[in-house]
Amino acid sequence: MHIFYRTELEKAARRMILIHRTDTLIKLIIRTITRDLKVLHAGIFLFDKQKQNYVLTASRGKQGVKVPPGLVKISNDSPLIKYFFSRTYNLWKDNFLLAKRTRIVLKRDSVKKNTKLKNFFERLLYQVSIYKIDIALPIAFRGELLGIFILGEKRNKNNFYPEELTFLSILSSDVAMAIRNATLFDDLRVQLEKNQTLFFQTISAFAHVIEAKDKYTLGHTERVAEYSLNIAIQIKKIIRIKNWEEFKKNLKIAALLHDIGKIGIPEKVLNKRKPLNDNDWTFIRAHPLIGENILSPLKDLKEVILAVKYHHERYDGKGYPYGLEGKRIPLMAAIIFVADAYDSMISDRPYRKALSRTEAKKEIEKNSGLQFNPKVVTAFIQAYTARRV
Amino acid sequence: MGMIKFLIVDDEIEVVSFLNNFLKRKGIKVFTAINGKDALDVFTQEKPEFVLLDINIPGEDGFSILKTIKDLSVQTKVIMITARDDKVSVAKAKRMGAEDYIIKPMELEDLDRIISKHLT
Repeated sequence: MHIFYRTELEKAARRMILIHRTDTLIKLIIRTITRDLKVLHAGIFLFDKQKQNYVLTASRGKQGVKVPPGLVKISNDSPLIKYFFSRTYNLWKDNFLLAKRTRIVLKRDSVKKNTKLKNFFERLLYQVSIYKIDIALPIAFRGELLGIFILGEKRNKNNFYPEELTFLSILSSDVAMAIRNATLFDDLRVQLEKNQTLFFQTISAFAHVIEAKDKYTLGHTERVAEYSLNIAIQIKKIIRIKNWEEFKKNLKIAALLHDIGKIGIPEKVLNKRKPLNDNDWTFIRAHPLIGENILSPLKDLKEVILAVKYHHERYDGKGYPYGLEGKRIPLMAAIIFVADAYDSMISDRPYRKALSRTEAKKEIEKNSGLQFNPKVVTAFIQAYTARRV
Repeated sequence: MGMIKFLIVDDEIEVVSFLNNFLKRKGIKVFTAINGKDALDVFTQEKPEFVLLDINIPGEDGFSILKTIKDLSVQTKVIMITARDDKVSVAKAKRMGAEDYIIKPMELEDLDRIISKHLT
């Protein structure tokens, strides 16, 4: 019996360490308990910080007997919780609550005569019976009651053996620690997501600075980001993209920031109606490099910076600033180039009216292999057909 | 005195089974339904005094079930189960004649209290 439980504990402990998500962890533990102890049902009440009560979050067992997840909760001052919190009521000084004891204790004179105790145990007995609890255990970490395990009686109606109680106790404290860790992970994830939102908002704010200067580009950067993403989704079907989530994120940032270098271009050039002269072009050609310069301190954005730097390079090598050719142009830059060109074509410019979407699409197709990467053009057409651009 | 009859309507079979057992212990006669059609069929047949109705059954309009029940028998007491503290749904349910409501996750003692309150 001893050996069996030690192995089970070790197995459980090893699995628990690997799981970061609290809900997966809890389901695993409930499954382990029901399987190893052969109880009619098992469940876990978990503390909800916001609502300050304990919700039955996971359970397993016979239908009708097991408590459905999400249906019930018990409050902070319900007997089941108070029993583990307060020394007053835990008359056995044990780390578990046996239903049988609850029934027996009400027969004691000392309890019958003490109204407070009597009331408490009567209410506790009620809770024990509505949830069909045979044994309950606290899940505590450093004095904090994170939850409670409830177990129904064994299918063979036997008592729990001392080794089983020990097994459950140890499992509970391991669970407490694992839940605490998983909760910390969850909190961290929330913080990171909040940070990411802030990050993207900041980037958008910078993009809007450029748009404010160039009155014809209101909303342009966001549209380029949207088109780029939709082209990328299509291109993923033809080209293998490593770390898709990273790629998507960086693509979005690069698209939002691709024209940040325009901050170095005088407004009279940006909004000129007449054809540009050589002087003007010097400014224009410089903007990808200015963009690179501005972003260079951001060490984590290497892929983004390359996309910003090369987003005007042409597939046939006739682009700027370096005249890179073909596959040497990073995919991200090639995508943004198409998205950028497309949006420019379908928007009014100081020097010409907008083209229709069909005309713009034809232009892009015409320039496949010349201006644009052929695979990106294929992906663009897919996105166009699907009305995603 | 006859047994009180309850109809429980919820799409989750586990919930319906559990609440069935919970109420049976109090000597209540329980009927169950997991969708609107069954709910109305059982209701018409058994004419329960109480209906415990989940407002959020997917693919069903909980409010329309409430209305039909109330139209069929205005003295039937309907207790709505709402999934969250949806004040709008609660107000609407009350306007449509629901006697009371309880929010998931619920304290079973609260359900007891509500039932006792409406037993008069």
